[in-house]
Amino acid sequence: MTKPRSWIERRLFALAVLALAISGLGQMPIFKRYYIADLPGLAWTADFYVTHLIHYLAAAVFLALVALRVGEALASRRVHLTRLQWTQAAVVAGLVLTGFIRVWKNLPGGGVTKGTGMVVDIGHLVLAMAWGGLALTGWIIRRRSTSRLAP
Amino acid sequence: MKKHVSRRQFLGGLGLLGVAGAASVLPAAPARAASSRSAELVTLLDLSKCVGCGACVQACKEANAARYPEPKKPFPPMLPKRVKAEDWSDQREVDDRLTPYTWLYVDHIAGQHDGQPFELHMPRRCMHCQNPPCANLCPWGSCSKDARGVVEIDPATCLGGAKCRDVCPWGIPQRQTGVGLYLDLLPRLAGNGVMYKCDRCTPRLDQGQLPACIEACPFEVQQIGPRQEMEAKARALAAEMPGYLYGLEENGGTNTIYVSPVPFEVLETARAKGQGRPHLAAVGDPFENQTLLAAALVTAPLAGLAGAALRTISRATREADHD
Repeated sequence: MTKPRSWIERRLFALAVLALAISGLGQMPIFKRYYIADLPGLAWTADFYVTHLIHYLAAAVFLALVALRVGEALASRRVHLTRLQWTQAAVVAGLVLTGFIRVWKNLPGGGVTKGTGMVVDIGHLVLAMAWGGLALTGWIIRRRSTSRLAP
Repeated sequence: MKKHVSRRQFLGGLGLLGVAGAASVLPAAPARAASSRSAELVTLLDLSKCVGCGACVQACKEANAARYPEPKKPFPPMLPKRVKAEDWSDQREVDDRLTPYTWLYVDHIAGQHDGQPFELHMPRRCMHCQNPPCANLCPWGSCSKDARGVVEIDPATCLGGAKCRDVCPWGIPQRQTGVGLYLDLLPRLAGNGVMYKCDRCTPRLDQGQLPACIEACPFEVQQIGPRQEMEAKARALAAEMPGYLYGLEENGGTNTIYVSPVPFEVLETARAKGQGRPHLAAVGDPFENQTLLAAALVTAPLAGLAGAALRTISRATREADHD
């Protein structure tokens, strides 16, 4: 049976997702426009090369942890996911795929066609928003079922 | 009864290790076939030939007039107040800098070099980088690079956030407020028009014609051709002049190469500075670590799979020993 995740693993995963979300939003020119970058210590949020680097590093941690979980689940041959969790898994798979295409695009010898680039860029953004929505839905469902079980 | 590590568990662990190991020998960042890179077109500009007549600028304006922005006024108010409209629609004749209506201008540079006065004229426009930050980092995919090495911005989808200008080391793209898709989305809250710059007269290229500036030049300052050929010509010209090269290595390599009889450091010191006037300083490669980062991203899930395999095996072994 799969052991519960350690505290450090769960925190590291949450930190990677948070860094991905912030640096991902930072790919849009909004932090400077909306004064976020004016806050002390947050000037880096308006530096697109810095947020780009953070996104890559956080993605590496995220991918390693996702692969760890997927690997353990596959090895145990006990994958019991709810419909919501399957949807989340599909969305994350889409995020990883579009993310890797973006990585390929940025390589010195890489590149994609104009149409592919647009679909991938917008797809990555939409999938990230969808994952956020699904995570929130899951959290609400868990909270409701916990309060129902409470004495 | 002694419990053994189940074959299923052991094979599961080994299988994951195998996947991780096999995948780790795959190239982390396969280079694109050299043929596609060599298909890129490079423009070579011999500055010793340019007299600054402006025929190229005039030809550019005439060829692209139909594609210039026609903004709707008054502009929608934007939030927050720090977001300013950038309007060049009443200054279309400006020709001493880049604007949404001037995608090419001639920088007239005068100064002293080796105790001798000089006067050079330098056509300036998008450098069409080989690995363009504007196209790589555009969050909407509105900016792209095609197989010919042309870097272009799609006016139908650009929201005018000006990220391309921020990440361009020369600040080339220029914004016109009051046009484009943002007007149909959230004009008060996001976007601010459309970014414009040289796209080497893409509609003309599509029809097999030369960019207007190259065709119009009476002194044949510019040549266009495959990268390998143009690089060789640029080096030969620089050796013959003797001259200096700019654009070959800048920003990781561009598809515009200038050859000048005066060092570019001297031109950089002597030129008029300001917004919309691209500099001539050396520019490093902003994506020089990109291959390393991509390798890290490919390796990370393999490390995760290897970790899962080791955990599975060690857990199964522990359970077996415990029983």
